[in-house]
Amino acid sequence: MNIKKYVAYRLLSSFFVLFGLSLLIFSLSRLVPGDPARLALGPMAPQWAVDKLRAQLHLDEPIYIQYIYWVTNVFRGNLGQSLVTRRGVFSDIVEFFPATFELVIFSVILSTSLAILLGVTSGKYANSLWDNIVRITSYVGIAIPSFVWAIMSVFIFGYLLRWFPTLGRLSSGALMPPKVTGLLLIDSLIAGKLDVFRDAFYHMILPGTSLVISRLAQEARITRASVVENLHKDYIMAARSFGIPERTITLKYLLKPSLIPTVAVMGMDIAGSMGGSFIVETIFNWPGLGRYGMSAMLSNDINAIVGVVMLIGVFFAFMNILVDLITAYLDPRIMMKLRSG
Amino acid sequence: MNTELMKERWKRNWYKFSANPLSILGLAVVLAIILIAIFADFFAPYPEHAFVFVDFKNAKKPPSWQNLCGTDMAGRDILSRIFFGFRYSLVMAVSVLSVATPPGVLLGLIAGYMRDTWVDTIVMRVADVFLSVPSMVLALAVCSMLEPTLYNAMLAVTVMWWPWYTRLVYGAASSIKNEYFVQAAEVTGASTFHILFGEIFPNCLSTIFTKMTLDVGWVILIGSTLSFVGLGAQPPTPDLGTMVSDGSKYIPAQWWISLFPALFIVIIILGFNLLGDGVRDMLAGD
Amino acid sequence: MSENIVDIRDLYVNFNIYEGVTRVLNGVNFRVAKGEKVGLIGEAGCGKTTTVKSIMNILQIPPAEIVGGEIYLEGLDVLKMGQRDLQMMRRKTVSMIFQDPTSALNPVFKVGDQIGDIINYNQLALGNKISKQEIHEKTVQVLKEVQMPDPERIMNSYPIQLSGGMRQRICIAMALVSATNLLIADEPGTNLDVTIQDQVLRLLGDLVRDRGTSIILISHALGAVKGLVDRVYVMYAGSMVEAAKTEDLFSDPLHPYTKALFEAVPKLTGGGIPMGISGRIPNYLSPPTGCRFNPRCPHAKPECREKSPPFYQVGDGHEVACYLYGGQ
Repeated sequence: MNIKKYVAYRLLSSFFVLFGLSLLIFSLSRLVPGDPARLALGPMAPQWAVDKLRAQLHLDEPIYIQYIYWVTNVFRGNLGQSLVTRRGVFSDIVEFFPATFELVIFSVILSTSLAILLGVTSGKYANSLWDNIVRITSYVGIAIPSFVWAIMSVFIFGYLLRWFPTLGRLSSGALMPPKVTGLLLIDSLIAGKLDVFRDAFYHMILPGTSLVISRLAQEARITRASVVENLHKDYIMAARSFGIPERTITLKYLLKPSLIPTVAVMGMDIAGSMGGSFIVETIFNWPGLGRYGMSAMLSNDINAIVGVVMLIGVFFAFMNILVDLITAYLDPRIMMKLRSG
Repeated sequence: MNTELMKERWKRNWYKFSANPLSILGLAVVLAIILIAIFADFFAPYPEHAFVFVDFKNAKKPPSWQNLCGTDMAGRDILSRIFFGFRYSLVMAVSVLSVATPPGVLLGLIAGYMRDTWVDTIVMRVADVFLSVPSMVLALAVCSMLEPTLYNAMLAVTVMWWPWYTRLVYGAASSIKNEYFVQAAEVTGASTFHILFGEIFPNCLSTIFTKMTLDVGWVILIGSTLSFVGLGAQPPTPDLGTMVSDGSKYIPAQWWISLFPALFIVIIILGFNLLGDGVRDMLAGD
Repeated sequence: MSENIVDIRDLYVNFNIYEGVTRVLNGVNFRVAKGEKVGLIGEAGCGKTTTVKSIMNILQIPPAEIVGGEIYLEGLDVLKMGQRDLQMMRRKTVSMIFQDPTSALNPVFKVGDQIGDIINYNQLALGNKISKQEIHEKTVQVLKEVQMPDPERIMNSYPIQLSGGMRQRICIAMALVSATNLLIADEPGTNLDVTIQDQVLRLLGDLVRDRGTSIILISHALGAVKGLVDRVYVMYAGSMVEAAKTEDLFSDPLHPYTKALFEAVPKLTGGGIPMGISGRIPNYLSPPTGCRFNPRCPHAKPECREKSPPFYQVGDGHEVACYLYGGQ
């Protein structure tokens, strides 16, 4: 079984899983008590308006018919209309996705870099004071839910110290740079507006750290454990015996095998953070997919809920496959296992 | 004679567990929390403040000797409410784990034993569907579609929790089934029921139990997040997540209303995590 | 002394482990002359690997602790060497072929990269700057020397893709490019098939013969050692008990342990299945006082329990650490 076959197998597998997911989330959204149409139009709206909306959404037809409508629409690129924003769910998602993507990628890259630094240093100098500090801090960090960190950091860094802003992506009154990618950090650099870059960067700190704080702690722990395990391996002693300098040993021969678990976790953290974004974006009023999805869920905006969950599912599946491929690339032993099927 | 063996076993387990002082700390914290939760009426300085109580004269008072964690917007003592709040965190953890684990484990056993048959494929694909989105998303989705109560929040978390156990046990069962003692049982005509529960399951026990103790912290984390968002226990129930959310409107001026419940959430989760690590160290290599 | 490339005197090494302090090396005396091929035999766990690791000073300290003695390499005191000198020594003077080739090779780097790095640092230590092209050529050359087919392909492979025998040869190649003066082979091929082990030992013999390098060959297989080395040390429980030229040792073993060891080897020529040596190897946490073999020795005298016997000279280059061969 070579790589191409493996990827094809995984893609097919994911397709079936996503199909199952669509069934699950679709049924959930249609079978819950309450009338989405009534909820969308409000208690004051006349019954005929509600009935009209219901007909539009095919809400009175058998559920499998509704599903068929939905699936055929999806293949046309139509995810239905959001009952809240009154626009197509698809265009909503396209609009809000970059903000979440930027936040997630920014935060995870930052957290993984920091985690590697902490993990390697504390692992190499195991049982030193620094190591103990890092370990205790990561124990606590893992126990902090993102909303707790969000509230506490808003209080400490936002109000007490006034270091970072607490709402939105840019300060009010700031001009957004011309849209190239939708990622503010990149767009502002392209447009050469460094003050906007700085503003956007600062706005990302608090929501970003809330999103990844417990993952950072977990990643540091995993890296440390990996480093400690590999430090005593024979091949490190062998490298030393051939006179290879300590620096090379640490930065090359120790680092690469130790980082393999970290990279795997990093990939999953990117995917998992999509879930955490629902909470964090709502708290920080971040105009992303998470905030959109959260409000959709709270207002029973059925099309939006299904659209967002499906998108996240697709992203998750893609991330899973990517992580497996990268780990295989980094560790030839895994590659061998893959090849043999 | 059997009790002698058991005593030896427990002594050895305790030795491994207590090797790490942090595990002892975790155990102490957890026991304290359980004790306080059960006897909240006794430990709380103002037990009557827990639910419905109003005293606007004393509202929003900062921490003092009368109210160690201050009072909230309705004049209730926050520390007392926190103590009662422990109950909801514990109830969430206990219910979710006791309801999600048995079906998850059962499915994993069956799928693992019948590996590479259609049973395996169906069970694992269904589990995959539930694991195809980050846990928070599914929990939020299910929770938001039901009426916001503690009961429904528990249901939502249970629904997305069972597949982890299925995967765990699937892996364990499919490797154990190749062991000689299982093959011996098959050859001697033992019923599938006996093989699954008499041979394979006991060998998975320590893995399952380890995961359960490590999971308690996670369930409480997700549970408190759900109630923070408003999808769990509703006011005036003194759920810790709800308390943080209620108090968030009063930051920064009356910071204590949110901060103390938040702090205790971290303490609870930390305690269970440390305990879970200790249990894992204790059961490792058995 | 100046003709000796290795001179270990009265080396005492302890290991501080959880249960206490294990006195692993108990006054080791060991010499290798320039160009000499020396074998080191003894049971598993008697301290052979610890002894040679201390020559290169690559013992894991902690938990190991060198509590006494001196180690001279090419006349220089290894234990007093600074980091820089130690590195130089490892890059050009002495190198080791490890016992388990699978764990000695870094699994996530290509074999060619690993050899290339060693070549690079070896050349640097000799004062040469070397280009990537030259490193490539040298790598191919050394792989050919260890009889690897298709060196180019092997260089681009990862250890997992190679067989056990090939990995062992890679380890030999690494040692060859890393040092010219002293090679330490720690039970080469033990973990492999007997036929492969034989090949490996033959290869080693050829290489060493051609280069005139000194070599310390560790083994617990007596026959393997016989064909390859000039002189043999026998080790038991942390100290050397006997040393002699190969033919002398095998034809006329003197120490009671050596005699028992040879008798314990089954002979194809009949004589029944031999008895093992009665008793057990000592517990290093609380080893016997005096000569560590005394609990199992049929000739044990009271003085054996009091103090460890020194090496007594018996004949041409034949030394025995036993009171039977020297007065008190």
